[in-house]
Amino acid sequence: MENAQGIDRQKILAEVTEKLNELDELQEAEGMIENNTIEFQYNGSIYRVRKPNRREREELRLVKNKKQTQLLKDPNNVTEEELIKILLDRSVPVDIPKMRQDIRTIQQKIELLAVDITETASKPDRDKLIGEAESLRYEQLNVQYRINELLSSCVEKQLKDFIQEYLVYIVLEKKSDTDWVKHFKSYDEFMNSTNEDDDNLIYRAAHYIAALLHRDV
Amino acid sequence: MFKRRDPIRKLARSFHYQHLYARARELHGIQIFENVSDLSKIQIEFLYWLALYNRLYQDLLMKEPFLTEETINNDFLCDCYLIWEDKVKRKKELERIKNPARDYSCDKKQIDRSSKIPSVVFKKR
Repeated sequence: MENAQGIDRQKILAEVTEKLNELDELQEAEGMIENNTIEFQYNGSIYRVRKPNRREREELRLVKNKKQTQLLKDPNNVTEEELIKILLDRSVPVDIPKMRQDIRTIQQKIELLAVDITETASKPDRDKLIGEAESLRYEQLNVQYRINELLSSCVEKQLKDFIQEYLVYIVLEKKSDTDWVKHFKSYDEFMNSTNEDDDNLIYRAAHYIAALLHRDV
Repeated sequence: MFKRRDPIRKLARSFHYQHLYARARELHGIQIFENVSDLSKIQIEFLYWLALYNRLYQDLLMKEPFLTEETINNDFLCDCYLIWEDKVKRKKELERIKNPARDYSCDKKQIDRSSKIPSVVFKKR
């Protein structure tokens, strides 16, 4: 809405909010690179995640092996390779290798567009090309999400999810006075936590652990 | 590629961190992070972007074709430029090394698709 001086308050408000969000993001990012731990506030308490030490990595390796054997022993579980074959043999086949090839083909198209975008001086032409590249990227992401969804039940994915959860249990700590103490005292306590607050805390911790160890966020 | 507005990249190209990076390379007492070893993945990625933007700012000073301040400040355009560099520029550089005698002066310049003015080539008689 414009006032007598022609100032669009809504627009200014949106711009200020955008800038503030950007500042928040920058501040959070700066906190994430300061050192090899990430501290964050949640429900008035301070938590941190850190890289697992050698002993914890060894513990992680052992539980991973145990879980893998357990998953493979269960006849209801299938590996990624088996699941791909099952999907292909269905009455309406789902071809995962073809979908993966589609992702690569789209990537090649995006890269050709990227070259054109760089070499194009006119803004309207460049914006048009950017739009094309963005819709291709969107298409590519959709194929990737579909693959992830289709393969979500395979042993490899279950194992990956298990490791990510176990890592949260191992490295999530809460500040108590001057010390850092493990937030979940045991894996059972971690697994039995049912309240929504704990779920959100685990989700945030997993996000920060990914930044420390994988950075796919 | 094409992850919009990555705060880590924005920090890496900021004057503060570029200045710190340049000083840290010259003077050994200056640290970028609190920890000197056992870097996290995000710290390693930040160092990668610091070095990359440092190189891009130098290329900007050298007036490299297609590289502008807007390109550096926009993650999307920067990604496009890096792909162009990888696919076109490196190829041309390799060609120049392999075939130094060829005349490269008439190579492709930035295209202005919106201009309606026909190209005119003036030649001396």
